[in-house]
Amino acid sequence: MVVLPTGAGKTHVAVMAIERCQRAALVVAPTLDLVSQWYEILRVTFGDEVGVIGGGDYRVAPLTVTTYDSAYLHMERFGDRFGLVIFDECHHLPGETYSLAAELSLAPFRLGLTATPERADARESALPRLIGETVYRRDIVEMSGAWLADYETERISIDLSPEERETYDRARETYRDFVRSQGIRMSSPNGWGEFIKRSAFSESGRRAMAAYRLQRRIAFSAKAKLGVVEHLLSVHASDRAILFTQDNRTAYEISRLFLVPAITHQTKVTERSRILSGLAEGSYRAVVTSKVLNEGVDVPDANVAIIVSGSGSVREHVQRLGRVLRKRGDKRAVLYELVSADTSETFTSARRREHSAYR
Amino acid sequence: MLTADLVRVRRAKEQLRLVPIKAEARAAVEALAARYLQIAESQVGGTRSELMAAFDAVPFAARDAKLVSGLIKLTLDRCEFESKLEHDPSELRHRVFIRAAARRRELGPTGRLDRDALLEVLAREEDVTPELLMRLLYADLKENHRLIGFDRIRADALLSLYELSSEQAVLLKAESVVVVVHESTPAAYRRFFRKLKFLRLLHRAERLPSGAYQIEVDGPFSLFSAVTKYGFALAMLLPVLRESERFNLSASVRWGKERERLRFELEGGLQGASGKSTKASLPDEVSALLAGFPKQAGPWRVRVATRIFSLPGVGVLVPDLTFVHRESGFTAHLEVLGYWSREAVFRRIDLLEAGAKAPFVFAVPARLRVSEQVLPDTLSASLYVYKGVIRPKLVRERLDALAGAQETPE
Repeated sequence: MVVLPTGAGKTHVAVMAIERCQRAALVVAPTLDLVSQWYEILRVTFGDEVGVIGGGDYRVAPLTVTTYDSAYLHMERFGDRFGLVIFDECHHLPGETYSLAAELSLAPFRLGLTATPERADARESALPRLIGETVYRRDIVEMSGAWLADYETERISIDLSPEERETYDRARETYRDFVRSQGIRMSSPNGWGEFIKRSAFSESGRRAMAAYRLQRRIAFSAKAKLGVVEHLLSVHASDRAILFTQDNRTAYEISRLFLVPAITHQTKVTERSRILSGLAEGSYRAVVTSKVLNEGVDVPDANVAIIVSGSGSVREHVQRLGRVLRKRGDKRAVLYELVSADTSETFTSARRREHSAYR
Repeated sequence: MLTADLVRVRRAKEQLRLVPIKAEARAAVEALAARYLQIAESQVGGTRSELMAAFDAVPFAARDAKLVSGLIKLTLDRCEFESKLEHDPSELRHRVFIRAAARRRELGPTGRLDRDALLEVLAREEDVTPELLMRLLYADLKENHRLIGFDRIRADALLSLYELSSEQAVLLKAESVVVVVHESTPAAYRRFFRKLKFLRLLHRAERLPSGAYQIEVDGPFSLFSAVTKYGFALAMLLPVLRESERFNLSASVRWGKERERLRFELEGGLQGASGKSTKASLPDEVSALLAGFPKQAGPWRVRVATRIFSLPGVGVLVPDLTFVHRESGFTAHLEVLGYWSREAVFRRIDLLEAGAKAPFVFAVPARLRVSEQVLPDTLSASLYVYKGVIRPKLVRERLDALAGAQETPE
């Protein structure tokens, strides 16, 4: 397994492995976007016909690209036809069903590529069995400058307005009262599931769930955050910025308010390609997205990331930073993280920054 | 229709039972249903998200959460949302966002985009107001779809629909269904069988000593493909059964994530009460043959079949059409096996061999890969294997041959 940050050349490592092995090779990637990126890379590099399995295609060739979904469904049939299997974004592999893709393959040569093998369920421990041990690992800090763009991160603390503060505190209290009264420990692994279950069975539970959502929404999209976004869009009017939100609702709100294109899971492929090309060629200078650009998709010219809101996941945060780190000339990248002060978002932010890239 | 996750059920050993709406709670549930219907009617012109927000604002007891979700689903099924838009929102977005990006660049790092002024200009170019421009910008998102029509229904009827839909949702998970149908007249049985065939359900029927018919119907979970379409057809069997005099249904269902095998039972029917019986329509290919045959008829007259051929202990033959020779009075029947399986064709041959004496023509689609020669010469029957459409001329040739064979002395 090779662990390298986004933009550090994982694809190049894979191409060299295919060249070195001289065996039929299968590349497994998590999304159809990545499958088409791999298809282009392999076709251009090796000049041969490249097979595709997934998204309605079923063409097997000595060089083939597929999704994790198709791989676990079909590996039983073609698992004996490849000497080398490359698992891109291999942190997906240890899932209950996806791991079948590795177990049903006979390939003696295996390569896993990821920036962040660690998973919330700790199942990364299965990766050595499914692929092999980690043979090379470098993190963002070690590679920035020479191999990745130089970068800085800035955490901007946002104060809620007095009205927002009052509503936030009240909603938070309602939610916490319920959790306390039910004896639910939100820090335990089952805490969240327990809260969902119990909140459905009583009036006070439903009120607590509504209050939970309200306080989260206030923290995620505080009015003052939008003021900062306006300022940053002006400051970086000549750069290429990606704004990240935790939910679609905030992404569309920002799109309407600042008249920047949005990409969510509801955006059709043609429109999405048009927006990304617009960003690459400079007719668009900013795009707002919820989670769909977190992983894999190449946006080489982007140099500004603005985290309007997000989860507590370290991986998500590192991946978002990775979107702007691809080296291009003397590009210098910056990541802004907008955090509502004295709200639960402060803890969420602290959790997701537990990575060397943010120290 | 409801989906399995919206159905209130209880498991008792190996039985799956629906949780009924209690008599004492019925009035309150009906009031709740009336509230949702009234909201949907009043929200015509608004967006889907506004409609959902209005639904969400209705208070209900937490224990009724699933029931409420079901009522809302059935209310939404009666809503018509705008699907075609005059402006292509993605093109509009492209024009608006490109202009905004260009404007920001012109202003540079110290300038501030005057959003309202830009929207004024863009709206003028699009020949709309700035408010409408903003509304159109993301009009293609599902939550922004406009409610343009609502198919009214009374609250008590919505509750009855909820109960029927719950039973149907369980049948969508059936492997096999056995129904015993009691009717009071032969005509009612004929009507029932015709409806059964119209639904294209794969079944085997047998007459019981009591005179009732027992019908085994394959469930969608016993098939390899087209499960959804077939499941929907099976669900439509329930309204047909409810129009019968009396019925008992017993289904083997695969329920829940684990697809646990459970038994589901129902009984009902009009039981002497008068009910509005729906018309029994003919399947498309049978209608087409009935309409097209007279031009090729020669001495033959055609009508919709009215007989049911029952062989005790063996099964039942239910023809679609009956042909009568004007001069000799020779009568033959035709059954179209358009949606059936190969096995069903051979079962019919077995029935004929077991003693069903009536002359029969079976129209079998070529996809079933059955040869016209499989019928023994001793039977007064003919197989017509057709590709695509049933040709009246070729049916007539089979009828002529059957009538000729009858006249030829051995």
